[in-house]
Order: sequence, then C-alpha cells, then structure tokens
Amino acid sequence: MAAKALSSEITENITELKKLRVKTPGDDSVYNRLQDMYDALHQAYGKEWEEQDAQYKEAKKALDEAKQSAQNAINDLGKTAEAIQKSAKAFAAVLAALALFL
Amino acid sequence: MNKWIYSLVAAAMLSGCGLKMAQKQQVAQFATATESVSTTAQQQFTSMRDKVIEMERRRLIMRNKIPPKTFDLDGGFNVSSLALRISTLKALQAYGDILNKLATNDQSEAISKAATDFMTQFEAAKKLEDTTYQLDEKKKNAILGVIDIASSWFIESEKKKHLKAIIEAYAGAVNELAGLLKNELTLVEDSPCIKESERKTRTSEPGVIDFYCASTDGLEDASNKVLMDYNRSFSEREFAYDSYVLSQNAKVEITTSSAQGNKVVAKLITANDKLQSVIENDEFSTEDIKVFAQQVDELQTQIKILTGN
Repeated sequence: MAAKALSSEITENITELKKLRVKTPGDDSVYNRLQDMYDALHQAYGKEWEEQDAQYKEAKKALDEAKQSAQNAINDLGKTAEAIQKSAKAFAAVLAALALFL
Repeated sequence: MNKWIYSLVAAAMLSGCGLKMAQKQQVAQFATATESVSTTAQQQFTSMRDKVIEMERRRLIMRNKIPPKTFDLDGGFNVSSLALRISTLKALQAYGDILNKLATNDQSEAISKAATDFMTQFEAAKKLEDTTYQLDEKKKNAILGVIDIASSWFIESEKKKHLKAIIEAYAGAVNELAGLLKNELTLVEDSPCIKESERKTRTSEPGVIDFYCASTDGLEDASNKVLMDYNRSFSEREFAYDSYVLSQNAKVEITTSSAQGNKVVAKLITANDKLQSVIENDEFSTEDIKVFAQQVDELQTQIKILTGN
C-alpha cells in the first residue's frame, strides 16, 4: 500500500478539528489549531516529494497522533486540551519539514 | 489549350493526395478545441492564483495573528509552479496551432512559424519536467521537415505528409501533457472540498484546484467564526460576510471545474487518438468522419461547460 501523503494527513486533521470545533464553539484554541492546519495544507501541497526524509516522517507521525487525539476529544471533551497541544506540536513538525523545501 | 489541360492535370495530381475537405474540417475543429482548452486553462490558473492570494490575505486579517516566518500567501502555488503549469498549456496550444495551420493555411511562412513555435514550447514544457530531456530524431525531423520547405506555399499532398509525421511523432507525448492537466482541474480524491463520506484514497497529485480549495475552505471557516461572534464591530462582520460570500462562490466554481475538468481531458485525449486514424486512412468513410466529429463536438461541449460560456 502506498504511503499516505503529508497533505492527506493534514486533511484528516482538518476534518477531525472541524468536528471538535462544532462541539466546542466558544473555544478559540480549537479554532486557532484548525486555522493552523489550513496554513499547513496550503504550504504542503506540491512539496511532498521527499517522503523518505526524517523530518517528513516525524511530521507525519505527529499528525497521526494529533488526529487520534482529536478523535478522542470528540468523544470526551475533557481531552480537548491534550488534542490542542498535540495539534500545535504537529503543526510545528510540518513547518519544520516543509522548511527544507523553501 | 494543351497547356491549360496540363496545368489542370498537374494541379489534380498535386492536390489529389491531399486532405479531403471533411478531414480538413475535422482537423481544424479539433485543433481549435485544443487551443481553446489551453487558453481557457491558462486564464483560469492565473485567476485562481490571484484569488488564492486574496483569500489568504483575508484569512490572515480575520485571524489577527502574526504568521510564521516561513509563511507566504501563495503557499505551494508560487510563480515558478504556475510557470510550469502554463508551459504545459502553451505546448498544447502550440500543438493546436500547428495542426490548424497545416489544415487551413497555405502560406509556408505561417506554417513554419507555427511549427517552430510548437517545437520550442513542447521542448520547454518537457525540460521543466526533466532538465535532461532531448527531442528524439523522429520528433525533430517531423518539425524540421515543415520548417525546411523553401517554397512560399504548401501544396496539399505536402501538408498531409507533414501533418501525418507531426501527429505520429507527438500524439502520445501530447496525450501525456494533456493528462497532467487532469491533476490541475480535478480535486484530489481526499480533498477537504469533497464530503467526508465521498472521499477516497488519493491516487492523483494535488493541482491548481487543490490550492484553491484549501484557501476556500480555510476562509469559509475563518469568516464563519467572525460572523458568529456578536462582539465584533460592524466593519469586521461586514468584511467577514464579504469573505464568506467569496468562499461560497469559489466553492461553486471548484465543484463545476472539478466535475468537468476530468471530462475535458478525457475527451481531448480520445479525439487526439482518433485524429491519427482520420489523417492516416485515405479511405476514411463518411461514417468514420462522423464518429470523429462527434468526439470533437463532445470535447467542445465540455469546454463550454468548463468555461461557463
């Protein structure tokens, strides 16, 4: 099975954060993380050819963890803070990976 | 009197092996459709890039946040990536132009110019993909054969010979270039602009329309946030409202373009494949021409839907 692209992982994070935002309408931090993910997607499209790079792999791992964490928070809003923290970490990892192509 | 008859016989011999009227018509229509796809897409790509930059600017304003140092408004959709895409389109446009000229123009100067232009654009497009790309002998000779004609007009049989050589040498490569357009005009299968329940595992590459989608979806979310916040000023809400409308219009454009883009490219490739047999087969029946005419018709219809004309 072909490896999932970085931008596919980002899109999945956007989908989960959107669901979380519906459940936490007053929480600006969820909104901010969601907008960060749009930034990441905007930057990632077209820069996905170095899939073997270590930082690229790290970014994908961080995105996967952030997605899982957002899914957990959707089922248990008490875990929202953790989801936000993981999402911020994933965003930083994506920027670090994409900086290699700038 | 004898001289007159000889001239008539000579003219008949020279034009006898040329393109039949129906062939000429079909080649010209196909060529015009190809040029039309290319010019329309060039305008669309440039306009989408401008809209992406505007939407990113609006999103940034509404978020009231200092962007990261590495952030740029056009993201991966920068000038050089646009140039790469435009180059592919220019090659397709030049292909349509040389076919059109060979089918409808008799002046060797115009035909030679179109042939040179096509070779230049084609090579440039391929070199952007692969810097080491070199035209093979068949491709070079097909074009040089047209350029090297010394006389000031083309006789029909000559035109047909060159048309065949060019189509034979380039049809496959032109289909590949047309295939690249599919990525630009059609959303990736797991795009955020596709309903979650309808998304699939991605098999295509992100293109122009995906950059446009990412900005549109992000802007919709950002403007929603401001519109739902009753503590914002009227001008802030008004700005958010205009941004929301912009994002909704863009979503309609994306849906239309993505649905039609794939069809346009598929029709273009099918008609291009058929073109070779239209030219090669001197015994081409009226029925065969009709089938090809239908392909070109369908291509033209898809282009009209895509461009909204």
